[in-house]
Amino acid sequence: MTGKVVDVYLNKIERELYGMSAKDKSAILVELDRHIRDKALDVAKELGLEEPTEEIYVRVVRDVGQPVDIAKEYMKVSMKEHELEATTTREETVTGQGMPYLAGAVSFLLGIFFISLEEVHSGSFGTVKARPFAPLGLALMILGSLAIGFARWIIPSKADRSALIQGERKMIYLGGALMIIMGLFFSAMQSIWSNGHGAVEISHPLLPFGVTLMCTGALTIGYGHWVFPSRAARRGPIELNMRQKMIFLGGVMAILLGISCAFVQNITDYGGGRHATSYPLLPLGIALISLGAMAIAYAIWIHRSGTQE
Amino acid sequence: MMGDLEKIRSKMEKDLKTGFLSIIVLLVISRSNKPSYGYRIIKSLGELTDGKLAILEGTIYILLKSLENQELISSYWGPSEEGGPPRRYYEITRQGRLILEIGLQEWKNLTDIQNRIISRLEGRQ
Repeated sequence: MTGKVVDVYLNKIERELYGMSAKDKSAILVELDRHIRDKALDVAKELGLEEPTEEIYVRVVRDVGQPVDIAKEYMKVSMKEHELEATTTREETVTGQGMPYLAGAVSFLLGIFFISLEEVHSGSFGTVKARPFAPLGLALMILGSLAIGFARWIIPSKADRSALIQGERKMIYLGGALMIIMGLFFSAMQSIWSNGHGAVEISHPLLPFGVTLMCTGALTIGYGHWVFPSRAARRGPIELNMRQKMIFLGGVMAILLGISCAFVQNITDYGGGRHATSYPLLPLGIALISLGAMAIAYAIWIHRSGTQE
Repeated sequence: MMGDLEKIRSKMEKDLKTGFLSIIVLLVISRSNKPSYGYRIIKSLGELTDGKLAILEGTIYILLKSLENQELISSYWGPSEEGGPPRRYYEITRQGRLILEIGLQEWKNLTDIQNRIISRLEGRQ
């Protein structure tokens, strides 16, 4: 037995190092346990005792370091390893950019889908009911281009992505959550329209749109988990520009989507006169524009705080 | 104010130690006559520096893991000389020796530059 204080201490370290792989963590905990045991025995011998006392363990544990400090060291070391990896693989690693490319490609495809839908509906029904999907499609295509450009510009390597920190993680989670909420919203709207107004041809595209958004949201949240495994790493020095860019991009995306939704509202009202069907999109647009503005203001605020530091 | 000074001093000390500690640990492992393990390495560091190298002992294990990830050292579990549970022993790799040689040379160069600057500036006074 190494004493209760040691068990508590090792448990704390285990919790603090939860970004580390289970294998590495287990090895380090075994070594720390052994280290404490060895040192406590040495100290006990120096004091003429046969067995270490609880006080000796407390003293030894203090020398080993606070769990949070050990976690910080792990964070620093892992950041350096990532930097090292980044410098050696930055120019050749392209596989790590898959997710932003995929997001861009999905947006592009969705954009083309909505634009083509516009033509189909216009041809089949001869109404303006489906017209709103053209700007939505265009907005998605712009977003797709932005995402692909973003992948090339901001995320040069997988190693760099691994070193990202809290702000980016939050943004990715937020993006995922927003997409899922929007997806649920559009899917719910489909039901309401179908049941309430029987206008299936108008609302039909919203179900796949909703499902796509939910899947993209789930992928984004999964991506957040995969890219940012380490809590200790998140406590590291903040790469201010990266965080700012992410927040700015989030804001711009929200504003574009908001404009797109608000635009849909106007055209539908004006052309089709079906106020009831298009009604939910105006508040959604306004909410998205507000979110975007808040995100941009937040990015500016962070930048100023960071500069002052 | 004193708190700020202490923070600055602490940060400066950490910055100066960065990199330096890796070289020291590699050096201790490579020059050890006995198989190296964490506690022994820490004790050696304490003896070699007369206890003046203030480090949190736990962080050495993180550093060892990092050096192993970089393939500068390798490790294996072996029986303990004093009995008890097995220990993890560390050995320097061929790549680790190369890096150590380069690191020592860089370190000497930096120390030389630092000494020159200090002695010349002090000579002006």
